[in-house]
Amino acid sequence: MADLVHANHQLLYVMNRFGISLGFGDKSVEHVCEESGIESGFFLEIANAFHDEEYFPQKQLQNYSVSQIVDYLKKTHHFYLMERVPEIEGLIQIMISKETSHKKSLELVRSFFGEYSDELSAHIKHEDEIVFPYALELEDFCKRLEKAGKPPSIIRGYSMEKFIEEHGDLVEKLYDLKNIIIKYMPPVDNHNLANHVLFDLFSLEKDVRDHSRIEEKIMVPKVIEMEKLISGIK
Amino acid sequence: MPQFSVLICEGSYIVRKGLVKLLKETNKTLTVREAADVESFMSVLGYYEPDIIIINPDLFGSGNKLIRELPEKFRGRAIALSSEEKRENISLFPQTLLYSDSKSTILEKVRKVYGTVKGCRGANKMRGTVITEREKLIVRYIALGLTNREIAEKLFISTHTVVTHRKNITRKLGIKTVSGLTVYAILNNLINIEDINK
Repeated sequence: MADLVHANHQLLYVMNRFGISLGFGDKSVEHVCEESGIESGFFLEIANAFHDEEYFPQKQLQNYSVSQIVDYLKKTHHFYLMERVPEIEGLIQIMISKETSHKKSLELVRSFFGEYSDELSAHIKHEDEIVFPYALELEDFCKRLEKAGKPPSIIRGYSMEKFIEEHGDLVEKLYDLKNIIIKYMPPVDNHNLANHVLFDLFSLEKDVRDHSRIEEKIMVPKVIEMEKLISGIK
Repeated sequence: MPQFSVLICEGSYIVRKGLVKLLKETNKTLTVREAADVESFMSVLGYYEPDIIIINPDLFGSGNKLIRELPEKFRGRAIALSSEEKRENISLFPQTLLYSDSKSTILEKVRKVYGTVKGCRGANKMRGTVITEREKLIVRYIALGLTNREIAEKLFISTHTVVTHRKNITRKLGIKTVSGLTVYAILNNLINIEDINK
């Protein structure tokens, strides 16, 4: 497990979301997962998809339940809204309070980031309240189908097709913000703080990108599979 | 160095990865998308617009219309990738990378094509990011919340031209969103904060 962190420290985020704490010594991935009550196969699947942009889980995919996946995705969302975003906001706030000559410009940065965080919240709210319940309902339905073979009741008017359509680019504003700070801001007093903000933005951007990829590559195909199954019965 | 993007379509895993690595080695800001077959290539093109495409025409089969359309569609920006030189299907491409090419040859060929891409993009790349007076005016209007059509009417140009200007602005500044451009406009005194709230 420690080797994983050395290989890609961004995976620390993934571990946090699975509830894995540091201090695991030389224990293997399997061992650590077992101790934390996580299916190691699922953990590895997510870690791989997170680490390697080209990674595309195929057969293994079927083995994991939607509720497992949704649970992970929700934790990620929570982490963005409760930890990452406030952290960056806080840093910008400190920058503003320490700045003497360009307070106004930094205020702009703050309000721009505020806009981004609103956008992110809206996106997350939509997924938490519509997309995920839809996926869970579908799974629940499929399960009952296997047992009783009952004809399908009506699944709410949503589909993964719609999701793919709507799943917009969440990192555009972050990209802009980075460039604004790097290229167009007047020189600020505290370089170190500016660096911190930038490092955080880079890391958040990568994290959000990887997160979207996991949604698109792991959750979407799984749900589409179920949709096909159900429409086949109808 | 502006961000520059390539889409590679090649069936051989080793060749594809090798090419990606080679290109990334020389340009860290490069974004590369890959496709192993025509189907995924087309689906990537559906949502992604690369500056340059590098494709192995063999993947398309002999009678495929696409392979004739692509060099046309991408004009100078399509490069063929081929295991051997004497192939008819590579003749439509302005440049061909061969499996046997050395590293420096490959880079030189890609650079040539990139040069034409940059050329037709026309910007003042060497002098850093400079947007023209016309573009500044458009940034100002965008920041003030005008639509493409309204900008077109004000400047007596077509909306199509406005869209082209916007693309150029986004590329030069590295800012994609309206609110990002607004911040840029304020920082560069193209507009005042008070103007926005009018």
